[in-house]
Amino acid sequence: MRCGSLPGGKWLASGGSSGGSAVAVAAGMAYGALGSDTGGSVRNPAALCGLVGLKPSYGLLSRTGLVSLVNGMDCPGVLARSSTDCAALLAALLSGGADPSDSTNYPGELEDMSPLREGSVEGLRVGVPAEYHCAGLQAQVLGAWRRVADLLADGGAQVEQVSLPHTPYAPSCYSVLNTCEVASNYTRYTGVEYGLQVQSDHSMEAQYALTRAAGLSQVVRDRILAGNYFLLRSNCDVYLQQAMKVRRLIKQDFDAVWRDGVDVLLTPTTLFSAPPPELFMVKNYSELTYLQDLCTSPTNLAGLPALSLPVGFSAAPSQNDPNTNEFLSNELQARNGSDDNQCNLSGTDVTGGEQHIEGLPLALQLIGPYGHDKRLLQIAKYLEDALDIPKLVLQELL
Amino acid sequence: MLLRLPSATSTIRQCIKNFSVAHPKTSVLSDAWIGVVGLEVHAQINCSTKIFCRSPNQPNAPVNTCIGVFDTAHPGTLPVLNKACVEAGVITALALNARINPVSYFDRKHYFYPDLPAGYQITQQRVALAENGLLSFVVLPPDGAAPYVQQAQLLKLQLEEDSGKSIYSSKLNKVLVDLNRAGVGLMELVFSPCLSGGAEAAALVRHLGQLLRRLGVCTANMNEGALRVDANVSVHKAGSPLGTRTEIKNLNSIRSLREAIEHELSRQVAVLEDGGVVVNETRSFDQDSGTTASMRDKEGLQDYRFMPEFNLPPLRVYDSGAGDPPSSSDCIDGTELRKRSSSVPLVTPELLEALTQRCQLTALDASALIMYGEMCRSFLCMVDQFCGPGDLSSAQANTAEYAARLLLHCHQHVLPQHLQDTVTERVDSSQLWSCAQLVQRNHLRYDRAKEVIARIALHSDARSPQQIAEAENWIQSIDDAAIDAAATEAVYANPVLVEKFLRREGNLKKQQRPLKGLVRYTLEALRRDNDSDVSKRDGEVEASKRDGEVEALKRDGEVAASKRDCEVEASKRDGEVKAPKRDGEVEASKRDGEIEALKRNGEVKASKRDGEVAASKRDGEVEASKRDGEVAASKRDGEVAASKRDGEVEVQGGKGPVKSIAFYEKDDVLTRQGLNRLTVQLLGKDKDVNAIEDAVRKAIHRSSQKN
Repeated sequence: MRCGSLPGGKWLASGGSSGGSAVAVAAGMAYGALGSDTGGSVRNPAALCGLVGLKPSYGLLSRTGLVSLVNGMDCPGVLARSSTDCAALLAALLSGGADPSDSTNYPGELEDMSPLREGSVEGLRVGVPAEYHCAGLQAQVLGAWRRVADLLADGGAQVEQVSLPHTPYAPSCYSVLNTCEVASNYTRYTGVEYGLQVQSDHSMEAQYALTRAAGLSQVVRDRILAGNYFLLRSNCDVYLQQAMKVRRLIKQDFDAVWRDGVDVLLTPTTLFSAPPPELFMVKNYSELTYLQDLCTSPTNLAGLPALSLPVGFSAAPSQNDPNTNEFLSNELQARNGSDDNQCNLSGTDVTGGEQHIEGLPLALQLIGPYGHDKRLLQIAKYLEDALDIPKLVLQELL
Repeated sequence: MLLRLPSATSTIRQCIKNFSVAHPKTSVLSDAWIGVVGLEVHAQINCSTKIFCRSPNQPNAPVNTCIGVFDTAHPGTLPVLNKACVEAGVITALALNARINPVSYFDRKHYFYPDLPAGYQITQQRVALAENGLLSFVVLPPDGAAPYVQQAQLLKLQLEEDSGKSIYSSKLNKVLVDLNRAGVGLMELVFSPCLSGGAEAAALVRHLGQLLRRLGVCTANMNEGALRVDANVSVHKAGSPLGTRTEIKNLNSIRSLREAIEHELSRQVAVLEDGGVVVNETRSFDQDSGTTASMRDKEGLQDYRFMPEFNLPPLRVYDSGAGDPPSSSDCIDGTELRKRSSSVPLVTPELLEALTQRCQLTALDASALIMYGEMCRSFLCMVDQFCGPGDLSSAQANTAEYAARLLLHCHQHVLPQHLQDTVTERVDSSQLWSCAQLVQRNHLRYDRAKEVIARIALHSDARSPQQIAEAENWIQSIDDAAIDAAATEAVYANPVLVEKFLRREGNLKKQQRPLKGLVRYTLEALRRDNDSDVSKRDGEVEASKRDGEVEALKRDGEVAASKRDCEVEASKRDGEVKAPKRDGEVEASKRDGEIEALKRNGEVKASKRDGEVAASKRDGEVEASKRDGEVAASKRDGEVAASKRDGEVEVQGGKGPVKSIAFYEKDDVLTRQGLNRLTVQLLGKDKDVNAIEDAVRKAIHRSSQKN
């Protein structure tokens, strides 16, 4: 996304993977948009583009027609300028009832379709999970997090710190499940029935190999290789089975919190606001992706509804910040220096990455119990009103 | 939450006890070696649509016409489990006394192949639909030894999807793919390795096929691939651990299954006796050479990379009868399905013994009847009821055999699927037994008996089989004397055929033609006899009446008399009298009781060629002779009979002969069915062709002795 207001028309990443949808809505090209959220692909661009992004409870919206990435986590999601728009779109999507061609689709009696009301958060119990306050969290995001928690408390909500102890394992758990399913779901892209086909006179196997080498990107090929490795008979227990156990633990963390009476969790959506695209050109793409999914993927693993909403904008850099541009220069250095070296993006390397760009959207995430999608939207509406975040107003009807 | 028939468990235990005794060896192996065979059977579920989508399942549809977006693995399509396929699986599992798993799961099995568009097959690897069943069946040893009961444990029954079909074109150097079969529901039944050889394996598959067909869950047509078998085969010596096994894939007939296993057993023994090692591999069977050949290493590189199919929630089967609550509205209820799964009896050695020893059924009939619990029970009750507790006489055993066959026929071919289990209610045992008796006593042809039973079963005909058969004019004349006489007549009238028959002595096959020819002549003769019967009974035949002839005869009481006297030839020839006198074209001249040639339309050529006179007498002539009082005369003094015995005089007559004589000449092979048809056509009712054949043989014998 090119920001004309920035010096030199600087480019910023919109986030992803449903970044196109997010940009279209943010630019006023669409009233709202669909995205697909497997590890945060709706909430992440929503956060970076200043939109409301909802990943519904797993199974709430039908996956028919959605190209499978990770069947156990894929969720169609909604991107909109406000929680009111988002609720309207969700109601439209649910109005068709259950989809008989998706066995995991369960709209049930979950959602009431009525428009959002002016509400209060009086008596609402809001949990703030300690584990989301992690290395790499941008100070401005942290600040926003604090402000919103205070705002809720001021509104009469009971804000308390909670613990989701298995959260740190989410990225690796997600990584195994993701690659395994990608390996499986992408076996169909052989070029026999449809799509690119590279001819080979040598053999059927050769034709498969050439077609897949030409048609699938490096990132996908990497995941397929890893996934198949995890799925080997000798490895399956160690990787896939283990990941499924960890997934269960992560889900149980959430269950315990809900059992304690917490209504909703408040966390960051991303660790940082919109980064420059150079960040994505560094060699170790996957590691960065998982770092981006840190706050969003646990809800996919647990199948819970989660909503990202804009809560403010980044401030101008403070004069006494010593780390001016250190983040980017580090990354570029690593990239230009030696391609063989893995650049380490964990820990403080990213922590240092303050953006120093004024006015970028900052976002937080609300997580609710399974089936409480509407409630999240209701709370988001309260915050929107309380924070009075400026919205894009369309001059003409689309 | 076990779905198990409470009554069956004790029977199983009983059954297992019985099996502890050693079975006769049926394998080709020498005594030192023991063959171990385990089967995996893939049964296509007989369902109108595929297992995970709504595409039609039509085995014979044109190539690639039964496919949808899911079958071709288009992105964005998801599997939806077909309830009917699950029900078929549960019904089958219940019939095999298997334990239904309350929760089972679907998994993906990965391999690249063009006929598997998604690159994986959805199957049940972690937890199958059902486990731990039992199948007992009758083994018919190939060497004709006594049949015995064997059993195999069903290790698991899992649901999965079929792949498409690949067709290799060497001309195009291409693999052609037909996806019609892709996604069709399969039940994979894995049996414990407890069989000793090909005969037992064949018996298991035959029995299973019948069972599946009967349950209506699978057509079990092996030649269409609806039932496919993989066999795991190994050999070892008594007391030593099991040997390395090989797997023979895709055996698509019972015969190739048996041959492949027998060949593989001997191959493995040969390898081991030469000091070699059996390699764990997949082998294919070549039907032409009767040998197996290595396809690929099994344990080598093939890794199916199983993983859960997250698109399908766990499959839950509950049991409302056991008080389990349904987990959702359209969940599968085992209790409901048990009502649809006809109870399949355990095949016990006792049952087999009762059928083969006491009732003296053939092994084949017994093994078929034993499949149907209720029918088998009521059959045994019927035998007890009509034969008492002691040993069966040969007539009783014969009757029992016919009864068993009629019952099986009725069950398998007469009643529609949904009524098949009601056969014992629909056919009263006394009706069945008396029908079988009619057959046994030669009063009713077997195929007519099938008809009779069909009417009783289908239309609830309350009449007795005798009444039905009489009404249909199916009761066979058992007037042996009449048959003998007709046969004798035929023999004297056809010296050429007789001579041919005698010349071909020792070649039964070649004798058939002259023999059947004679049978036809005999039938002709009987027909005339029959016509007289009919006309007498009905008092009709207007033509004759108009002439006042029949009346005259009747008044004379001659016909009746002659018959009573068994002056058969004469009376029969007299029977021609009754033939409608239509045109009066025929000139008949009898000269001194010798050759009597009747030319009609020049068709008598044939008879003339034979040098014997087969003269068609029609109408006018008979009148003449009767008017002459010849018949009476000849009868009185036995002249006619005498002359006939000399082979000199032959009189043929009736409305049919012209046509049928020409027919004899042309007809090369006369089949049994053809004769049966002809019998009905000529006589208007049934005669036992066998009996006629016997009579002809006897007549030939007599005449040849005389000469």
